[in-house]
Amino acid sequence: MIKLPSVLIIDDILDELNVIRDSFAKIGLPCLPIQYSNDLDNASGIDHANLEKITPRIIITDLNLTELTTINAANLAGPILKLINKIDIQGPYLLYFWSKNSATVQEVKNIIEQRISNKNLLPLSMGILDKADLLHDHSKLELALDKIISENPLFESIFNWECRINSAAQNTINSLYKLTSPDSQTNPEDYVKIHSEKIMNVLALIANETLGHQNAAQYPSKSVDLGLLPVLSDSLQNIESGTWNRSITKIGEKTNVDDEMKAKLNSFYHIEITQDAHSKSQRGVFLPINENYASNKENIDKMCSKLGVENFNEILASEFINFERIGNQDILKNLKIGFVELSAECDHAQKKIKLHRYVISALIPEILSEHCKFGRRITKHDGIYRLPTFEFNGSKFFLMLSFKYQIGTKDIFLINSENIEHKWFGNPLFRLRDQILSDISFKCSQYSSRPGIVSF
Amino acid sequence: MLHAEQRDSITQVIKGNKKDENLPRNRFEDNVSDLRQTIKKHGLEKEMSGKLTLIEQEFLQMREVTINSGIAGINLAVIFHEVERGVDELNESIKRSDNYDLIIKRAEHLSKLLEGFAPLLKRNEQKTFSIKSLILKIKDLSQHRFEHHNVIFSCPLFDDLEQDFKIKAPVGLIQAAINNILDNAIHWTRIKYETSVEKNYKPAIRIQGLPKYFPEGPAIAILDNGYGFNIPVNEAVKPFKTTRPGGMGLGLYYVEQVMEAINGKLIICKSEDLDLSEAYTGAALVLVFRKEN
Repeated sequence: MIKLPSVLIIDDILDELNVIRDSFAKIGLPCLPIQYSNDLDNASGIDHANLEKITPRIIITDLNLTELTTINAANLAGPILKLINKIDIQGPYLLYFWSKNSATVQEVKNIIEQRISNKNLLPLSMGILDKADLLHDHSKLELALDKIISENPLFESIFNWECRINSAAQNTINSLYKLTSPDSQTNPEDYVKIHSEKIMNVLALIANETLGHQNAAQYPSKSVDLGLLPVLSDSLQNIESGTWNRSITKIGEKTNVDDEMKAKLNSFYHIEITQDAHSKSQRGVFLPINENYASNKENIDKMCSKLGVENFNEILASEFINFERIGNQDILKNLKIGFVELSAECDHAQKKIKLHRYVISALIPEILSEHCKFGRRITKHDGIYRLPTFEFNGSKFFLMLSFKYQIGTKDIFLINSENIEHKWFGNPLFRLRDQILSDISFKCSQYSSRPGIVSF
Repeated sequence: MLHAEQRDSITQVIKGNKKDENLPRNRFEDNVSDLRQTIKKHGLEKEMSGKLTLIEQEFLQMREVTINSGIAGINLAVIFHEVERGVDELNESIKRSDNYDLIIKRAEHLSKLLEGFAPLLKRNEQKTFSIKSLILKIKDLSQHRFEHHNVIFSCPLFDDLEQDFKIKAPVGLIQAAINNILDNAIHWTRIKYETSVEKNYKPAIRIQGLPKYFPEGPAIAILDNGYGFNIPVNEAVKPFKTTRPGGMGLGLYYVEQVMEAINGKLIICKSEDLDLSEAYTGAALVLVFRKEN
């Protein structure tokens, strides 16, 4: 997958598109020029361009794309709205109008802001490059283009950060390239071949050492990525510093955000919404109890019997929920009981797991937060880990894990040459990220190894 | 009449009746040169010289194309006159030290005038296309306007209630022509919405296909339920005639020019004249296309 941050320039008039393209070349900033097509089968006007390999961060577009006669803001805005929807940037970007109608631009901006159906697609800021001033004055145009990035400090910092990461990755690869150079005595005809082989050997070595041979073979990309990560991170620290100090003036000051934002940030840091690719044995994955299996009372009884309880309410009551605070048990219906995979990280790395360790957990709607408090405690006992509230599928939840209820099992069994999935496990909902998993593992180990003290 | 002699000369040259190209060229270039000096004298070079260069280049380019290609059916003399007059006015405006915004507005007006008509002079390739697909595209680009102004837009072609037909014409020009009519319809239905005493009034615009109504060829009718024309229809297609505030008065002039250029015609009438839905009591504009051989 290639997704480069880039500059997109769009104009229906090729000569005017070329002027801006050449100016970008002059200032050394790569851009993707697209000639707008007003063909009837080209709904957005840029359907003919493949935008899958880029993430535009700057879009510069002509304003009168369909050669209107009645040049008013409402007419001009139509094709621009189509463009924005088509490009569908899920992130910050700048939108500049390369236009002869500079006086109309403000009105077009207002219409775009008011009428765009998905407000998340609005640019961070909009500006103008006046063709009347710049079309025939190339050095002035080059200066104007050069200034675009720095005109919005926040955008400058974001763009700069993405570029620095790219540079850090390039530095990492360049260092490897350098250290694998064959010596100068090497036959010139074999030089490139030997060099390529050495790089491949070194990368294989890094991958194998990082995740172990077996795991590296199963997850080659991940093993190389993880292997290079420390060098990449170090390289990023040593690259020219960013511009965050100029754009984020509140850095260093006390900053408050509301609970909604806190939940979203907790999701950002701790939760990865799973796609189907996540295996049920992946470390940190949350598997709710399989609803189909649990719809049968006999199955529930079997599960409870193996967990050593009468019913699930017994687990909820002993671990997670303060039933004294609950009047109507209907409020528990959105609560999901499940399991979090919590095998040792090194075992995962070395692919040495015989039986995976799953810890019983409850995904609890935030509305029940008060019902999970016990006096002044936010958990019933020290063997419970409570995650901070996070956003999941548009609602707020928190997850509680009980270290008292752990099972060792496989997610897939080989029976009569057939792979059979563990019946208890539903499809994964999300995966806990590394940082919070480390904390959970630490607390789990601490709990398991706590000494019993006799005291009077 | 102001500059009558010069206007006549320009018209004659544009029509190809007079071969003395020096007269209008010098006249326009003299005016621009004059204006450039005025701009310099008033310290407006930074704001105005780029715009003036663009206006000058587009004017000369358009005039050259008109003279050399002699595009059939398109009479742009009136546009050239307007630009000439506009350059004069701009010059006077700066000399009088008019309000800066007014000066910029005048320059923008000239720029828009030239930009709007420039496509007429391009090599507009004739293509055979389905009228339904063109109207779909126009509707798509105007959807935000219909939604914003709560306009009920309908086109029986979309539901296959009417037979689609193909026409051969420059797509962009026809698109711009239909767009001009829609633009007027949106404007006037909005005005009616804001001023009408009818409590349940809802702005509505309909584009109806008329594949066999006219013997000359297939047509489309663009109907609305606004107030209709408040100037005589023969006046409405004349350039710079408009009752729309801020309008340039060129929308329907352009439509007529385009239709004439493709051997079609523009008819302004009422919905009832065409035996179409009586709900559309406002303007009814029909674009009749030449039958394809």
